[in-house]
Amino acid sequence: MKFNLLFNSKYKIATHIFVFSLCAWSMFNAFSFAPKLDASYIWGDLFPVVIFISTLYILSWWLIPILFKNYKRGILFLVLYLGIYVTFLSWIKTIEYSLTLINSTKSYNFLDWIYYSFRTFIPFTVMSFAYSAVIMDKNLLIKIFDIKRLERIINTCAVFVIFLYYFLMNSTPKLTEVLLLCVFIFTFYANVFFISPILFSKKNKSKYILYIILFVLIYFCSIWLLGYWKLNLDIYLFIWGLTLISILITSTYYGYLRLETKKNKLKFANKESELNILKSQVNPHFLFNTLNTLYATALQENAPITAESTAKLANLIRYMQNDISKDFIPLENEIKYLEDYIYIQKLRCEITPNIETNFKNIEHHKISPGLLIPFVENAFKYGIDPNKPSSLNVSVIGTDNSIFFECINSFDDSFKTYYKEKGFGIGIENTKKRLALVYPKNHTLEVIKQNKIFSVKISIESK
Amino acid sequence: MIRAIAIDDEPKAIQVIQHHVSKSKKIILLSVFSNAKEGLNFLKENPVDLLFLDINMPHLSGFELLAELHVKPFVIFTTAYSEFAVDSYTYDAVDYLLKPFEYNRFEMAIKKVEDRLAIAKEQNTYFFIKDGFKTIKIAFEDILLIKSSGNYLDIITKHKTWSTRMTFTEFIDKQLPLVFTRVHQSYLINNSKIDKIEHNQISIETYNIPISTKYKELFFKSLKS
Repeated sequence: MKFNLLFNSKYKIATHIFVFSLCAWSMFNAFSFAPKLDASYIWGDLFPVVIFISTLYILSWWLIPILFKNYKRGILFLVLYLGIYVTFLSWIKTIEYSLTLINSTKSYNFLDWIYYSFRTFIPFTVMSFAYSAVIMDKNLLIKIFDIKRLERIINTCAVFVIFLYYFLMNSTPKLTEVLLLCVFIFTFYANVFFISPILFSKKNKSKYILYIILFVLIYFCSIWLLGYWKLNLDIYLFIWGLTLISILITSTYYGYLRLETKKNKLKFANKESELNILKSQVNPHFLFNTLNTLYATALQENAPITAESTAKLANLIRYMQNDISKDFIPLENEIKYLEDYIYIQKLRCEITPNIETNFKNIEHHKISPGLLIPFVENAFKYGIDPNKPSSLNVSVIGTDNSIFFECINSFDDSFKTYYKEKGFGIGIENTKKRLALVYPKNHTLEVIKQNKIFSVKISIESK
Repeated sequence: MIRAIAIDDEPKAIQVIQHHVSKSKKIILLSVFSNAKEGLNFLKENPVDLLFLDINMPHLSGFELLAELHVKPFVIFTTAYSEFAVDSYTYDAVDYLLKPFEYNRFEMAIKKVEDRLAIAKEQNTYFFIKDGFKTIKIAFEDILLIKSSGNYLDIITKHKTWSTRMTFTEFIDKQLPLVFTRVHQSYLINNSKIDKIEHNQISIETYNIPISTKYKELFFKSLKS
């Protein structure tokens, strides 16, 4: 059962073509049933449908994603769009109404149409919200399902919105209609929490059929009891059956997502505990105290280089333990790491490479940790041969709102380096992805490899 | 010269501080303690400017030690635990050195202490004592020496001797701007007023003060500062 397939990029286009053709078909149908193609028809039916569809797409592709990323801006855009939508739709409706005014008993004014337009906006928001949530971000979904309370709140809100919408739409609510809604909601959640888990569990699949039959019976019985089934089989079976099927499909998908994320979470938890065990094995306090002891011993033995490199190694490890997991760190920390790293790597070299560093105006800047390091690491991996003369030039220069990084190193295929077999460019690919994630629109990255020189230039707008 | 002591349960860690201190010309180590309680007792009796303090120590942690001091010297935490950095702000620490720290980093911390000391000394030049019903202002630089007799301190200046109900610990708590050194169970002297040192005796103006064996080493160390 891979419902996810529907939302894969491969099938997404197919889904959209399907939706579009459905719309086109319904429009065509409407055209052929319309008594005559007059202005009121175009204003009243054709334009609103176009607006509805475009609303659905604008919301789910543009506005809701903004809402997920930056809720303040998202809400602002949503409200703005709502304003445009309501004015536009009510304006069209008013025109249509004025065209067909003649034989109407009840008089509408512009305000009524605003109210009408506003009401229609609600289901679009809900639908596109659900759609974007599904296509957008797996991790976000996992997070939502991860927090039990949040899931509960969302469900309660959804049920509340359904009832609210019902009471808004109907000026004369009936008890039986409310009960019918209850039946739908009950069907939905019963399937999510009790029946679909049986389907997705490994054993007892035969039970599922039993339950679902029982369930369908209960559903139709309650509809019959509420008086919505007047034994006029063909139409009622079709209508209520269609409702049931759509409820079952959506709820099964929801149940599937719940179980899947739970499984993922379990896997994740296992990985996390594994990591914790590994971390505790390398007890940082023991590690740093030991390094301090080594440092003291080196000082005692009057071995300044050993002492210095021990201290720098401790800095590197501390960076790996503390800074790397943060979202942003002071640029100075990142550069301290580069300096210490270069110092230690230099020790390895028999022929000291010609290394120049230039760090200017690095105060008061913040950076996502580990963005610059891979390039310097690569320079040592591929560009510097411990047994041959080679060169490296690293500079980081800060301006009022940007950081410029440059790493130029010698490069020769005949260089023998320890890491050559590890595959070139993996680190750089990852960094590209991270740059795009952290600084989506305000960074540039330039990698040039020619004439035995390998150069990387990055600029980041840090503020 | 900044007068400092170091408290750390690891002898090797103390060695690092000693090494860095010997390299710096701005600071002198009066004493080092690998037992936190001994360090605490020393701090209660002797004025110091700066304290190098480890946080995670058996029996008494660095934070607990500070909590027991009424008036704290300037503190530099030296520890392998980066997670205490935030807590250290509560104790108004001058700096927080993560072990192993190199000399450059150490020097930066000392520079900060110097700045803070300069400000503190500028602001703190005198204090008040009670003499009967009068309150009298005494400048630190006028004091020659202080002698304790029972619950009273005799504060001896060039022209007059004041007697006030106070203990050495209370006096030391006043964040002294000048170098005062304990030379005997019942004598605290102003280093800058010393005229002469003969055998185990200090002369200040017309006063002769004995140096006891317990405080001898510390006294001669503090003379260098």
